[in-house]
Amino acid sequence: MRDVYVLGVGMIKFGRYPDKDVPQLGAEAAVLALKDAGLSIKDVEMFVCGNLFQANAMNAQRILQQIGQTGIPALNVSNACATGSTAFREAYIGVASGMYDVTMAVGVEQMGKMGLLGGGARSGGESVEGVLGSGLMPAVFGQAGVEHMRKYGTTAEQFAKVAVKNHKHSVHNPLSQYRVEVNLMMWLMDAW
Amino acid sequence: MAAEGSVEGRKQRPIIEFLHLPTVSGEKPYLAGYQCQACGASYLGEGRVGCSKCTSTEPLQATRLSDHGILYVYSIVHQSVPGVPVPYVSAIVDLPEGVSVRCNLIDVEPDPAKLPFGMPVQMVTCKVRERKEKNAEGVEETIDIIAFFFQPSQN
Repeated sequence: MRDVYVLGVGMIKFGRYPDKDVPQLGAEAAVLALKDAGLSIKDVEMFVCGNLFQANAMNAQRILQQIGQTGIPALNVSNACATGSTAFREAYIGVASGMYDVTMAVGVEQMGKMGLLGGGARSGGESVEGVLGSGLMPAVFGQAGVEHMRKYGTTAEQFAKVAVKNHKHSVHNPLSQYRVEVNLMMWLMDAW
Repeated sequence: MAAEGSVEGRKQRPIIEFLHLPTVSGEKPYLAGYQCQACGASYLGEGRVGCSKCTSTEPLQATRLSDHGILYVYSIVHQSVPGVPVPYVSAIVDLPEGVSVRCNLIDVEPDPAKLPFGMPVQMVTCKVRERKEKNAEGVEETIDIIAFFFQPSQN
């Protein structure tokens, strides 16, 4: 396997973008990455797009439709929370294997207002959400946090400090969706 | 669709297929398990192709899972979809067979101080809603939808 170098990266501001679609958002980020690398889409030999909620929409092809249909292989991947890293891994393997010299990965997701993911869970037509526990992501990852507490004695205050730290970073990041600081007491009062 | 039960003339349907309901009164409802005959590992629900623990692909054996277990972890849910009363406790219960079940933990206060890890719990079932459906003869009938819950137990 060959060494692989990241030549350029690009990111657009996190947001809901009700007036744009997935290929549009992906194309904007792709153009930024090409600019950063000092390359053109004509230099790219393989293109991979990671997306989950519109995974059947042929996003890689539709991004190339906007920024340059050069006839290269276009690949779409879906892998839950690892979707973006899976796209990156495929692009990496393309170069590491020696098959291509330049590849490109894009990760793009449009969440809309489906903040409580998994709420539609049904079994044979019957909704089980809130009856057989919760499959909503806040509850599922809440349970993962409680498992961490059980195993390592982690406290609610320690989890809250992570959120406080992350929000502090967001204020300095012009691409953050929410650029607000929160204080520890605010978070703790909400945490349980 | 999940197998239907019937007790004292009322039709019952489990909310999920691995909850088995009694067909004659006196029987107890139970969670269906599936056990690997090679390594003994158990799974929730039936219809697996193989054993993901030991990789055996021999047919698994249908079993009844215990109705007692312990509280592994939980999440106190304060916000949910419309129609779900909050707060409630979403929990993972570990059964002695090595099976984990996600459920609502009932008859407890939604307070971490009242939810010790490892707390013994037991399964109960109750009706959560009704369905009105026409049967094969075109007559409308009411079907009770039955769910399982876990609650604290003494042992």
